[in-house]
Amino acid sequence: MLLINNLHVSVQGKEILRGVNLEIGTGEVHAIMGPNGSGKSTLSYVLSGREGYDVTEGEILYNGKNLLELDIHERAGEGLFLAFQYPVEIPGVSSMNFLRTSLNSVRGYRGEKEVSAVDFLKLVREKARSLGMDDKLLQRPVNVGFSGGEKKRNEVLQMSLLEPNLAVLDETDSGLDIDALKVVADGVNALRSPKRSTLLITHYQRLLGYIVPDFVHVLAKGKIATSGSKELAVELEKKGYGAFGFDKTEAA
Amino acid sequence: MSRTQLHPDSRIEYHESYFAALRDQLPGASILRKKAMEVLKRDGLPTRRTETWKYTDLRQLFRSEFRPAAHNKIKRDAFESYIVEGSHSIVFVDGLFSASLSCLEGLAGKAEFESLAGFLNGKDDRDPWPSIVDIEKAGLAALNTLLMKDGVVFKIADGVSIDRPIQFIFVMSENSAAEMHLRNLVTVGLNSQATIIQTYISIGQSTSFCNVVTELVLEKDAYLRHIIHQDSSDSSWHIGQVAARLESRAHLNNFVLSSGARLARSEISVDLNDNQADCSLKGLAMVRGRQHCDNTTDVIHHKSHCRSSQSYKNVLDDYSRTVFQGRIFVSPNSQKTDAHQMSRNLLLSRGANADSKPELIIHADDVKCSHGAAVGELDQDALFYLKTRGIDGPTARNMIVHAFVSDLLEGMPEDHVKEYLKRFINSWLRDIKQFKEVA
Repeated sequence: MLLINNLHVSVQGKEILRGVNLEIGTGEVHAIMGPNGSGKSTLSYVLSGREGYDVTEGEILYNGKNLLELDIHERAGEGLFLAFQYPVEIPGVSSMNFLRTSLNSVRGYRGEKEVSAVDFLKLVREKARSLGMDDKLLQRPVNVGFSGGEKKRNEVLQMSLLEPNLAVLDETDSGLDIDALKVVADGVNALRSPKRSTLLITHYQRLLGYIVPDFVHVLAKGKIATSGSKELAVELEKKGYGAFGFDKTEAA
Repeated sequence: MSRTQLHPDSRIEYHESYFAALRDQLPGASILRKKAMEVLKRDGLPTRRTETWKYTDLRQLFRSEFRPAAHNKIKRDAFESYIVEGSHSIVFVDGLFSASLSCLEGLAGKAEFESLAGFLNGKDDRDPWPSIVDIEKAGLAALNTLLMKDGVVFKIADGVSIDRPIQFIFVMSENSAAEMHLRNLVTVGLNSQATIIQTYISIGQSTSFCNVVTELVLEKDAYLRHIIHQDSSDSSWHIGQVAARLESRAHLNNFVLSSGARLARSEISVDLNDNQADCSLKGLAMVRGRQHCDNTTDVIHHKSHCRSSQSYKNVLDDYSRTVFQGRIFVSPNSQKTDAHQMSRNLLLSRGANADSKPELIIHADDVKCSHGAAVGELDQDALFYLKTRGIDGPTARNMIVHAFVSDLLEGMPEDHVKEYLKRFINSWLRDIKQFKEVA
C-alpha cells in the first residue's frame, strides 16, 4: 500500500526527516510514536501534500504510484486521508455543503456517480449518529464553535464518508477525554478491513489500547529508530523515551 | 506635479464650452444649471488633494475624450441576462430613454414614471423639484446638474406596495464613448414599499463615462430596497452618487454590487431626517485586472432613535484597488442612535491594494456606534484542509471566497432579485483565473 524510501524532508531549509524508511502493507495498522519534535507531524503533512515541506531525497510510493507527483486533492481521490491534529475552522462554509462537495469530488475522481442530496442527507445522518454527533453540529459552518472532541469526531465522520484506503491519523487522541476517545476509536475500528490500512501518529500509548496496531515504530531525530510489535508501545510508555536513549523533547 | 497633468480648471473651461454647445439640447432647469456652473467655477473638480477624493484619482478620466452617443439600435435580447425576472423595466441606451425597450405595465394608480427630459421640459423659471443632493460637496454632482440630460423620475403613491421589482437599466452600446450625466428622482410615498434595481451594463466594450446622481425620498413609514448593480465594461468610467432622505420610521435597504468599469465610485449619503428612520447599507466590490472601485458613504443622524448599519466587502484580484470611506455623523439631537460600520477586504493577489477609512463624528452622548476594518488573504490552512478532502484548488478557493461574501445577502428574501445577485457573484467567481497559489 505505502512504501517510503529514504525520505528526507526540509522545512525552510532545515532538515526534519533524515532518511525515513517505512512499508505499510494492505490491511495493516501501524503506529508511529516519538518524542515531540521528532518529525511525526511533518511525515503526515508530506504524505498529504502540504506546501512548504521540501522533499530533498527519497520517494513515496502509494499503490505503486509516485505519491509526490499527485496534487493534494488527487491524493484524497486515490484514497489517502489525513485526520488533522488541529482541524481547521472555516467560517461561512456550511458543514453539509462541505461534506457533500468533498464526497462528490472524491466520487467523481473515482469515476463514481454523485450522491443525490436526499441520499447524502440520509448517509451523513446515519454516520453522524453512529459517532454520537449531534445533527445540529452539521448545521454550523465547518468546525466553527466545535469543541476539541467534536472536531475530532468530525474528522472521523469525514473519514467514514470518504472510505479511504489509507488513513493517517495525526494525534487524533490529543484533547479527547476518555469517552470521546472511545467513540473515536470505535469509529476508526469500524473502518478496519483487510483492504484498508491505517497509520496512527501519536505521542502516547493511550490510543493504542483502543486501536491495536500490528506494528509500532519509534521516530527520533528524523529517522525510524526502532520498530516492533504492539508491546513496544507498552514498554515505551512504562520506561519513557529517555530509557530508549531518545531525548524526551527534541528541538524541532 | 507632472507637466502633463491637465489642470481641473481647464476641464471646467472644456465643460463650459461643452455646455454652451449643448445648451439647446438640454431640457429646462436653467436656474439649477446656472448655480451648478457657479459652484464648478468656484470649487473646480475634485483632485487627490480634496480630502474625500484622496484615494480616487480622476486625472485619467479628465484627460479622456468623449463623443455624443449615436442613436444605437439595440434589441432587448442583447441585455436579456441582465433583466431581473418578473420586473418592470425602464431602459436607457447611451443615456437616453428608450420607450420601446421599456416595459412598465401594471403600475397605474401605484406609481408614475416620466423621463427626466420630459419632466424638465419647460421647467425653467424655478427649481423644478426640491433637490436633496448637495452640489457644493466635492464631487461630480455639480457637473451632473450642469449637464443632466435624462434619467428616471419615479413617484410611488402613498400606501401602496409594489410587489414586482422595478429595474432601471442603463445600457452602453458597443464601442460607445459617450459622456452621460443621468439624474434619477425617486419618491416613495407614505407607508409604501418597493424594490428598485439600477443596473449599469455595456454591450461589448465601451469607453463611456457615466456620471449618475440618484435622489431618493422616503416618506414616513416607507420602505425601499434599493439595489445598484454596476457591471459596465472594464474600459468605461462610472461615478454614481445616491442622496437619500428618510422621514420618520422610513427604512432604506441599499446594496451595491460593483464589478465593472476601469474606475468606479459609488457614493451614498443618507439623511436620517426624523425619529426612528433606519438604513442598512451594504456593498460588494469584486475587481480584477487594474480596476479601481471606491465606495464612499455618509450617514447623517439628525434625530433620535435612528439606526444605521454599513457593511462593505471587497474581493480583489490581480492589481486591482478598492477604497472604502465610511462616515457616520451623529448630531447633538440624535440620542439613542445606533450606528455601525464594517469594511472587510479579501486579497486574492499580492498586487492588489485596499484602502479603508472610517470617520465617526459623534455629538450626542447616549449612542451606540462602532466601526471596524479588516484586510486579509485567502486562508491557506482552510484551503489545504478542503483540498485534503478531495476538493480541487479552484473549487476550494471559490468556496472560501463565497463564504466571505455570502453573509451580505443574508436577510434578503429568497426572490428573483437575490437570485439575480447570486448569479452575477457566482459568475465573477467562476472567472477567477486558474488557481494561483499566494506565495
